[in-house]
Amino acid sequence: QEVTFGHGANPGNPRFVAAEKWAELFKACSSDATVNVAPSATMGDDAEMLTSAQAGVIQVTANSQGAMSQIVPEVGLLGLPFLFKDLPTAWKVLDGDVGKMIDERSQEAGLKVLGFWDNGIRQVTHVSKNVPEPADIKGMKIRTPPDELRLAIFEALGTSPAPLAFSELPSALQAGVFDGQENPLTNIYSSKIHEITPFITLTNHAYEATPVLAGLSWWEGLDDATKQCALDATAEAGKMQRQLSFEADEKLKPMMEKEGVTFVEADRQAYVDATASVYDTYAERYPDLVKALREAAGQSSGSGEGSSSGEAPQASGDGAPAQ
Amino acid sequence: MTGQATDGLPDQHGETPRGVPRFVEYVIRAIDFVGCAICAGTLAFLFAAILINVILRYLFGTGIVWAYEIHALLLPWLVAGGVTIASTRGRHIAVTLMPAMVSGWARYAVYVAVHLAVIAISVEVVLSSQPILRASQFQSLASLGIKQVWGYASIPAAFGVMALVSALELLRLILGGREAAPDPSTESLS
Amino acid sequence: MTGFMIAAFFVLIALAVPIAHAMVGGAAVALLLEGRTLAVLAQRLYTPTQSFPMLAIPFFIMAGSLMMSGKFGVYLVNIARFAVGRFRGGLGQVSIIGSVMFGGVSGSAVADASALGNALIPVQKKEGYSGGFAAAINSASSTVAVLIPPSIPLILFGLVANTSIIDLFVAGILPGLMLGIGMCTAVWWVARKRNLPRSPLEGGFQTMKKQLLVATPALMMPVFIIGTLRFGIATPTEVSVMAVAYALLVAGLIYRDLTLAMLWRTCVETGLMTGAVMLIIMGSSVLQWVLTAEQVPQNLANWVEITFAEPWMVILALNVVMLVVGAFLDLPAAVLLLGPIFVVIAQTIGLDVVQLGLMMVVNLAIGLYTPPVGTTLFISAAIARVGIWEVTRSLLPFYLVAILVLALISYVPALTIY
Ligand code: NA
Ligand code: NA
Repeated sequence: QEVTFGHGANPGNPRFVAAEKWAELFKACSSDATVNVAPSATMGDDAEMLTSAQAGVIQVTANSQGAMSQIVPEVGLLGLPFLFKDLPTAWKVLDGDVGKMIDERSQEAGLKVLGFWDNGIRQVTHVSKNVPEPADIKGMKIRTPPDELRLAIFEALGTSPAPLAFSELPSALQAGVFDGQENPLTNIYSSKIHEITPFITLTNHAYEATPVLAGLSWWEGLDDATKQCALDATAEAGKMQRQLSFEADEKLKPMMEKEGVTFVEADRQAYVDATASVYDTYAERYPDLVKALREAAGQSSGSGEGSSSGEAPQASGDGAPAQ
Repeated sequence: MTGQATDGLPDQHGETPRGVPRFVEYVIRAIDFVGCAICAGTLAFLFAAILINVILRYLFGTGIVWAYEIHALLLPWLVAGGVTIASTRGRHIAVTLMPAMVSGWARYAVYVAVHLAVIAISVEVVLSSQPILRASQFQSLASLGIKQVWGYASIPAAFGVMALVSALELLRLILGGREAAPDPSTESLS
Repeated sequence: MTGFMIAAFFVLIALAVPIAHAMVGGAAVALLLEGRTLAVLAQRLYTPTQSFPMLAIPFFIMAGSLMMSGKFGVYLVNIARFAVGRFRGGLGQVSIIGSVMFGGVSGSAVADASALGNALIPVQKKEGYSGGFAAAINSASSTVAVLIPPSIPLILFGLVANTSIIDLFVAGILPGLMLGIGMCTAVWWVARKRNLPRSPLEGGFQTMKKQLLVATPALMMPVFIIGTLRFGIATPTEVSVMAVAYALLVAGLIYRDLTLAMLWRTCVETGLMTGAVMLIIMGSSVLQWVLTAEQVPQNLANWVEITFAEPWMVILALNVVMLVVGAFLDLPAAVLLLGPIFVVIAQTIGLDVVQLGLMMVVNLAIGLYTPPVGTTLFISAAIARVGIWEVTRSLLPFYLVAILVLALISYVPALTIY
């Protein structure tokens, strides 16, 4: 059988490397399979690839949290502000019960979660200044993806967030429609956004996963051995991908500094306090999940307490992901 | 791009005949009107949404969240409406070299073949869109919460209408005989 | 499988099946032969409709249509007449200057060809121009509209090449003016040989002065478009919407000829053009999926890299391919079909994407007035009531000018990259 594995990353991106690794691993343990890896969104963008996987046009896709949350809204909650204190915490949560719960919800929509890879942690870029304190970011015109939660975060911070398609982002920034935007460093670097917005504040404000998903109808037609093979391949390639993704972030900083970028660490605690209200809003809508996420992420979530007080012990003041 | 502007309804088939051909004519005109209404409605809505959003951003530093998302639903329907009018008025972009070179029965045969091919291809698209329609029921727009299936439905709708219009034209060709084949020089091309 | 797909595509095209259907049909053949699911057809057809930048197409069509359905068209011809009417073959040059000015409100050569052709070809014939020559001027000069911003083919190229539409728009101005000047020279040269009259504007400056004042708002449209883009007021899609608002204001407040009937006609015409153009864009998205799945662009790029030793040879080869394809295919369809492949090839020889875009549009615009299939050629011949071949003979000097400009664009990067 031929398995088409689609993703949107270009050569050099950790996701690209991991997809190749996945193909290699899957072929090794599933003798009769050939894997056709389709990179660079050649099979469509993330949302399309999800539909394609559901409809059986492709079999597997390394996708994005944003696109997936349009099908399984709960996934979007992984992007709650300052949820995970570092990447390893995020990985532990995704590989645990929260990941299982997301898988169950996905299967109702015709998708099987094979595992979670990484998409880094998001930072704020600005055309003319750094924004280490929440007071600095007030009034900023900032582009966000069309994601309700992300909009809520930046509204809580007193900015004017507006969603725009990523494809229009560079020209909109160049045109001065926005003061800046927010993305993981790898995205910023690969689309050269740092050349237009050379002031990057390391806010680490939201985590993003790269869910690896299979079409459920294809998945259910596999024998148990092949299923295990696919799951193992995803986990194995994922280990490497997470490592690469983390290293890429670290390597990018000096490279971007050489290209004229000014990095500043954000005052994490002040930002945590300023976005506490977002948790209250979402806790009303998804009480169980928000509670589970906060517990799993190592935050306490006692009633009446805002996220700020809950997270205080973990916040080290250093927002960078700890190894 | 498309042929020159023509106002009003299709007239390349000469005066309206009686009986069944006349009925065909009325159905085509009705389809044409629905297409026009969809175009006008979607254009007006998109225009207003984007313009208001620009004004809001400039004067008040805010924006309508869904203004950048509503096109995902309305542009496909604008296209479906436009494609409908292009079909009823015979204004699809095509290379009409062959019908221009031949005449008589040969031209008649070419038009019959074209409509048969359009029907076959359009029906193929309608049928093959079913898995996508099913899948897109699970997908919704981020800020509006509207299911993507409402946008995807424009594809089978547009191709369904194109198959229907071609079937009606075919009916007109069969009933009207050789004379019913349009003159390719009045048919607006490419 | 690609071979079968291309064969099926051309058989269907030759039969006069709409190009979009031919693309879908060809792709379906390839998918069936490979045992892939056909669900990809509907999905890829849908993809282009999800693009926000694509929205600029209907709104730029609409803005041009609103401007031209009002009194602006008459004023525009008179202003052009005042500027160049006094030269030999003045009325022919009016067509060209008119096209340059018209290009600023319209993104499509076809709209230009039918609007200016209907206004000028009958008058030119009355003044002694042969039908063939009048149609030739109109079919060639109207293509300037796709170089002066806004431009639908440049938007499409920007989307397939993932490059800045603003940069493309700005880069289009100079080639557009070069074509305009070159074509004016061609007309002047033919007019001298055929002893065609001068046609100065009656009433001279007095007539022009009044109309210039009223026509200025419409003439300012390209300045408005480039200005808003360059100075960061908005993105291309938003600018297209603002251009419609601007056209509505001009028609409502200055020309005072805005009616509900006219609005309805504009919406219908815009919808029709959008539908016809978008359907091809959607069809080529299907075709592209199959080509990419088979890695055709990459293989072709590799082949070109091995076969042609020097970059200038590659550029020549690209141009020859485009001239051949353009002879048969419509401009937007050809941009969409060749764009993604050529971008890959351009990267291997270090050709700038913006330069490639202008090279493609200048080249494929020639296809609009080459037989056997050329839209502005057909429209102009129909208005002038002459045969295609008669027009083609008169087009020879214009082909020369266009090829010269194309050669400059292809080999002098400074003309498109600043
Ligand atoms: Na133009
Ligand atoms: Na041609």
